[in-house]
Amino acid sequence: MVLSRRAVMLAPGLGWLALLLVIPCGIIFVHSFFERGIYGGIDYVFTLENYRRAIDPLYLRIFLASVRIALTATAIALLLGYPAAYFIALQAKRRQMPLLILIMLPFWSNYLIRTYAWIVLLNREGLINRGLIDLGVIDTPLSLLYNDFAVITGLVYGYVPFMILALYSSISKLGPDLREASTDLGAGAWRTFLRITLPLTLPGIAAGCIFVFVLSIGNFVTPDLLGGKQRAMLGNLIYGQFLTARDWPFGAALAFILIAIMMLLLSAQAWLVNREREIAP
Amino acid sequence: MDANVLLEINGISKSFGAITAVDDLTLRIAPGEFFALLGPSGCGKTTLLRMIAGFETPDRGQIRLAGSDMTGIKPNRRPINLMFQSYALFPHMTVAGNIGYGLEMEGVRGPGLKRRVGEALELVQLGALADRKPHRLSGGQRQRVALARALIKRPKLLLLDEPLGALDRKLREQMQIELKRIQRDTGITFIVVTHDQEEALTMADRIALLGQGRIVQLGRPRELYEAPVNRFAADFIGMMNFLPGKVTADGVALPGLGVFQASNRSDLPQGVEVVMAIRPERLRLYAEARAAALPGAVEGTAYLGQDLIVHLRLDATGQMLIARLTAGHDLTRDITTGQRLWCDWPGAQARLLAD
Ligand SMILES: Nc1ncnc2c1ncn2[C@@H]1O[C@H](COP(=O)(O)OP(=O)(O)O)[C@@H](O)[C@H]1O
Ligand SMILES: [Mg+2]
Repeated sequence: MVLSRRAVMLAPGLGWLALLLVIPCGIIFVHSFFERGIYGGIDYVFTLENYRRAIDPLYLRIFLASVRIALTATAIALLLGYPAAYFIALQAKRRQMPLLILIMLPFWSNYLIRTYAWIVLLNREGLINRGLIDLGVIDTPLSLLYNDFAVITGLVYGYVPFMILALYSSISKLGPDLREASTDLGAGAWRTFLRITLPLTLPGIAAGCIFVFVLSIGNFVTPDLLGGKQRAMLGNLIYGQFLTARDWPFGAALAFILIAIMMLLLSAQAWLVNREREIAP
Repeated sequence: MDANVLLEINGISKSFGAITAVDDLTLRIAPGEFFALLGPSGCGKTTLLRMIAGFETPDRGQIRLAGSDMTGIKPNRRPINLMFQSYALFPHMTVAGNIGYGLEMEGVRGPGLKRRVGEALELVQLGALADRKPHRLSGGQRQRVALARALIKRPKLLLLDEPLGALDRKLREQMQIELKRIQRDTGITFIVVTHDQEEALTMADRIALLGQGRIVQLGRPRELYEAPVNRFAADFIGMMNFLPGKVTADGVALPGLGVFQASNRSDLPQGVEVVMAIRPERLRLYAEARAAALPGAVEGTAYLGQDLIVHLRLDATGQMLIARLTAGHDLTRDITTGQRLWCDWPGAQARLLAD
């Protein structure tokens, strides 16, 4: 009885996921084993060629570059996000919610528009260059746009709220008692952080990092707009295979590799969250 | 500096907004003492401990430990340890890791650390559990780990916030004796916070009874039990019967009951309104009428095994008295509800309270 009611309540959600997520992923997976048609489209002939091509040095380089950029963005988001999350978690309860809403405020406007805003800020005539020249800090404008710096800036900007939310939930669960116990036993603030707060918020750190990494490595809007054409990431490569090169099976193979990596990371995250719940009383 | 004073609290106060948690409190504690802070929930016990430990700053007043002013000294620099009400064990460390933490912070490493952790485990009889994580311990075991963790630094002063509050009754009674043993063995001065009067009476050398952030009464357990200073103290510690009356030339007049004697009548001026307080176990019950005994009807009994509690409603005034008879008493076998009994009490066992 209880089980069947649960099944009924889960059914719409699961159905939705199956229709819009699992089935399309299945289609992509199947298509990644076919050959490309001469004029685009698909020839339904089985092949492993698409996967062999995916590890070709040309594409492997793009893959590694994407990983590097996503990792850098993740690390910076962590360094920026941790102090912010810590600060919010230490405030009085009634002050936490307004601060969290401020953190989420950017989500109220479109990601594309926010990314365009970075072009306005970062270009040679942009606010930052103009400001620095007017202040006399530099003579010639810095090239801040159309490079990895711009891509990483855009990714960090876009995803740091996810990092902060994940960290906040972990830090706020900790409460002041353990920190005070550590202080009472003779530890200074820094050692209390390293020995108590940091290890106990590792699940939050992992969750936030996986979020930001997964979102970054799959992103194609930011590298497209801020990175310039030659700085393609994995997302741009897949996008290009589907829409420019019209090689759908190869695009499908690349997409499936990306999906597999994300799934792996997200299951690791789910496992971590579960384990944390078991240990905490 | 007075060698007989370890902790000196001079007129400290602490408010949270409109609430005054601790109100102009002064207290001196001697080295080696087992001291109890007793009081109802919310009377400021935890706040006082947290000020001594350094986690709260007093609004006013001063705390001195072994002669030196603690004002502005951080908790990690005070030779004081606090055992938290929640125990606050580090969930990611083993029992041994938790216990050794404080020594590690002092720079103790290697075999020295191992040896002292071993000794601390021994002291609280947890040797077999050194490698367990806290979430796999029982409540009583957690309590011991928290105690060992606070003791291992050999503080001048150990503060324990409701150390036995989370344990069941049987374990609590056992741990009261054990805490006392550990305190004697280590010679460390203990301040234990409790809202359980029996616990305070059992363990402490001296007790401060707190009410609304102030000390209501300070003294040895026997003094608090035998000579409460006011109605709050009398009511909080043990059970007590209260009969209102007035001091007269030849005793205390209780309206409708007569004139009675009391141990401290000479301390009070004639004509003053008082409350006569008598402990239930000091009341005597008789099956037959006798001179100067008050008749009443049994309204109910409660059987406690070793004792029997009898509720007696006095015929003369309708006031209810509670008597406690030991199991050996002649009457305990056949007291029934509605039965007529007579009661009196020795004048030396009645105490007058002015408020
Ligand atoms: N951090 C705080 N903020 C606001 N009020 C507090 C705080 N700590 C304690 N209080 C208040 O101070 C009073 C005394 O609390 P506490 O010292 O915890 O009492 P006890 O330990 O005797 O139960 C209570 O009314 C409590 O609500
Ligand atoms: Mg308390």
